[in-house]
Amino acid sequence: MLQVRNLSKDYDALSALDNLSFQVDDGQFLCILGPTGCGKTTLLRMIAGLITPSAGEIILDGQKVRSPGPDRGFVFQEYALFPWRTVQQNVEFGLEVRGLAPAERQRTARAYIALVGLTGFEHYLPKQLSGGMKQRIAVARVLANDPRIVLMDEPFAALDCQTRNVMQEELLKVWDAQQRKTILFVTHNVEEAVFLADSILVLSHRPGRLVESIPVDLPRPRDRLSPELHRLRGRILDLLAGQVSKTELLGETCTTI
Amino acid sequence: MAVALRTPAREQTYRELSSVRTHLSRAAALIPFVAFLAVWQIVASSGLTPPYLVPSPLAVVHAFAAELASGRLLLNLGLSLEHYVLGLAWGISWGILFGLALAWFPWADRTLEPFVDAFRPIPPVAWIPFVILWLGIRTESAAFIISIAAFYTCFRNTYAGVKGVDRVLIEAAHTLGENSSVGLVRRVVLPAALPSILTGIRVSLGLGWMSLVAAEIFGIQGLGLRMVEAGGMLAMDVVIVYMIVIGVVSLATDWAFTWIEARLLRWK
Ligand SMILES: Nc1ncnc2c1ncn2[C@@H]1O[C@H](COP(=O)(O)OP(=O)(O)OP(=O)(O)O)[C@@H](O)[C@H]1O
Ligand SMILES: [Mg+2]
Repeated sequence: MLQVRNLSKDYDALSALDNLSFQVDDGQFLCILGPTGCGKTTLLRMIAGLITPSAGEIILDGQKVRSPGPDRGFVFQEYALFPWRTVQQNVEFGLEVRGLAPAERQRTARAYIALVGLTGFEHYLPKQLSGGMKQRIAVARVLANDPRIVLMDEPFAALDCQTRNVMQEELLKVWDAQQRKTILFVTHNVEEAVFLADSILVLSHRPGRLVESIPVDLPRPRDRLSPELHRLRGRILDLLAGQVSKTELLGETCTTI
Repeated sequence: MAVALRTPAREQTYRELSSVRTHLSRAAALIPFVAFLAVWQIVASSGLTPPYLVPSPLAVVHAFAAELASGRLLLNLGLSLEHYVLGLAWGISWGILFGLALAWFPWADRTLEPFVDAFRPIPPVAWIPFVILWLGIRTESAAFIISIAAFYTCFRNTYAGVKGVDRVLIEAAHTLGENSSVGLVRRVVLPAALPSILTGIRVSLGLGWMSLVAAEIFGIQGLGLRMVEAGGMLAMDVVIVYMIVIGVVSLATDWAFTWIEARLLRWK
């Protein structure tokens, strides 16, 4: 279980996140939604241990988070693949650090490459992959490390609408195949949040405060065009109406074909 | 109907023609060389200039054969290569080490960077009197002079390369479990800075030949000294032989290194 208690972060005079508390049960898919600059990335980076909070604490399974560790995988918006490593070598990175034998590394990496549907691309370099493929590898690289929780910072924001929809569905499949690890998924996009999440955390305009925590009790697999999803989306947009313009949170809408 | 139909047979002819054309345009690069040799030979054999000022190309070929037969050419080449390899090995390894350390550890940067940089404006050749006095006339003295330029070039390039490593790659490594400094440097920083480091090495290889001649002129036997001695004896044909040898070897080093570099940086 992940607990965030009275967390705040100031960058010099600027308050990015203000007294945020919430907790995430194991196996939850939590989406964090909020206007730009409200501290979503800051929150994820603190949970990852990449930056330290100004106040408050983060507790994972009873242990206070102090530094980065492989138990909290991070999927970056800009992929952050190592460009000099092949797909296979990228996925093996964490296993290599752990000191696994080459044969086992190779076997594990192959399994995760297969899981994200990129078998056959093991020897490709990142520069030879499309954005969607890069992000799949970034996900495989994190999952190969068998983390407790996966932190994803707008992982599909750089992808076109069509690819993004496909990636969302595949992410849910992978999540299922992996006994549903805890996922914290930051997004700008209300549609994305209602499609993916078990629960949505809506943050206010900067400094980020909790506006509401919305459970999404809709069965999976979900239909993007279902009236329930549509209604929920409307509710969240109303909730955010005071925070931002609707267009910012809607993102581009597209219909899957 | 002025539209030419592109039949397979015509395609074939076009391709052949265009390949002939590229070969021709490559061959065109030879023209200046041939013209240069021709003018040189004409001037030399015109009798307008004394042979000690403009030796004929043929005289140079003879001088080359003589230097080779006497064993002097290979001896001097061997000695110079020793200076070169030793000097570059020192300069490049210390340059990379300092560049890495100063760019990676803020405390090292603060304390050492201004000091190291203070010596940079001094041309390597200016060190020669000191080096000769301290080390004497020997291999290490020439190597040391050569190492200075290589050191600063590799230092600067490594430093910039390491400072320029994309932070997100380091953060990715952190979150994948790599938290030791040694591991980060080996797995992320060095590979990410490699393009910049290799540029430093390649520039050093060129600078090495320049400082080599300068260092040897002060009496350390090698290609440079032989060249200056021959100049003193007005044996311009011999001087030209050594000019060409240095040029060819330096070009070959550059090509070989460019080849290696391209292989190492295939991921770019
Ligand atoms: N390293 C930093 N130094 C100073 N200020 C920062 C730093 N990182 C973020 N900020 C500021 O903190 C605030 C929150 O930034 P953060 O990146 O967390 O927002 P975000 O919610 O992820 O925004 P977006 O949706 O645009 O990605 C912003 O105003 C930003 O300018
Ligand atoms: Mg962000």
